Amino acid sequence: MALINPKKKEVQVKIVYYGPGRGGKTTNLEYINKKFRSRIKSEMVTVKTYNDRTLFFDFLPFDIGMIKGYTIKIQFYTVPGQVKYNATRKLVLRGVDGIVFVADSMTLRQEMNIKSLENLRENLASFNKDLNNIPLVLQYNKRDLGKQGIPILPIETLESDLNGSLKVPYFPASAVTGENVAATMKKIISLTVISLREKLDLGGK
Amino acid sequence: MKNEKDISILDELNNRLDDFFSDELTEDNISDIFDEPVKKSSINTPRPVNCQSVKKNFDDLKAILLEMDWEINEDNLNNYLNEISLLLNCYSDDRVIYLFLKLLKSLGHYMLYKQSNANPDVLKFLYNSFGCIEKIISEKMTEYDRNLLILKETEKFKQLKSTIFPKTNNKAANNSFENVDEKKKMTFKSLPEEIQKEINDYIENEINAKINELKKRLNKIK
Repeated sequence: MALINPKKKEVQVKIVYYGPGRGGKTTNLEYINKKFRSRIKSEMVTVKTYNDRTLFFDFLPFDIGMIKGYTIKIQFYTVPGQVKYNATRKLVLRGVDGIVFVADSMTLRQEMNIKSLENLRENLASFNKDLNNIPLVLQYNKRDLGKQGIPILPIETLESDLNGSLKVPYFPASAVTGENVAATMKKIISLTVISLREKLDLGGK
Repeated sequence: MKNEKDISILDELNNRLDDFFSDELTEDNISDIFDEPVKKSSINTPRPVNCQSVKKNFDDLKAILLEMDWEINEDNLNNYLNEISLLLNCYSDDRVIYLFLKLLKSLGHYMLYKQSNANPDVLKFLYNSFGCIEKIISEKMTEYDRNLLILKETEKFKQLKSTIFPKTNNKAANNSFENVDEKKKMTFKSLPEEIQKEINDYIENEINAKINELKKRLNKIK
């Protein structure tokens, strides 16, 4: 749950990038960190293994300024996508306010996407949270691979696999080129802050 | 269905996010804008202004600048950016003035984002650039003089830019855990206390579980 400091008029929002291994979660944060470096005052922390995989998580905090008198501090996390690190994923998910599910568009990863989304649903359930009731955005990453002749799933297939019942906003994207990376981030911040409006008593003016 | 409160917050939030994620003020973009006019030959001759309200727009902009000299707030910065946008449309065919206006717009976005924390030299630079535009419009300057004026401002801008955007070391994002040096350790320490505690607890539990498992195995062997 978001940390709210009424005295300092400060809100800390936790957003987690979730998805199958090698799907591009870290690349999303790295793109934002690089592109908007001059506006993000803090450093991105990333804990990787020798072969460039996320071992624990990535962490990118930044302020987006004041909304209705509250300073909004956003904390982005990624989880390790590898199946064996489920305990870590659960740990990072604790207290989550919003989620971006980064799906891999490659045809070969179709099953992994579905399993990872199911894993997200289960892990949230262990904290008594429902995937259907949490701010969520889907990102269909690696769309650029299609131009390189690598088989990718059509958006319709990804939608029916992952978003059939959820009906949440989605973005075709490429974290490598930056296509829709900021748009995804803007959408999840927007959905999450709006979901917190009652707790913050926003809109009272 | 969204109610009025939601729409109001959403508007404010979207404006804030648009500012934060806008491409107006990335270091690279500013370089792109100001590297171009350094080539004298690329500057075109002055062309007619595209709209009739230009004098009014300039007067309004000047009034806003005078107001900002007294106090800078979100309202006058937003008005300032609106006037600049109108003037950019008017001067889309006059490259020199257009570039000056783009500069004023970028600095406006910077000030809107930083507000009271903005570098004080930015405001001085902003007044000076506006003065240059007034000079170009009021005096019949030769193309050479126009070029010279923007070249000089470009040089000043580059100096200011190096003050606003000091070169930072972004390698933190690319290094592996094995190569963590003192600086990285500091950034790791900068994680929220709660998370640090959770990590420590998690590692401790994992280690304890392993030790217990090994103890059991050892007992079986004995």
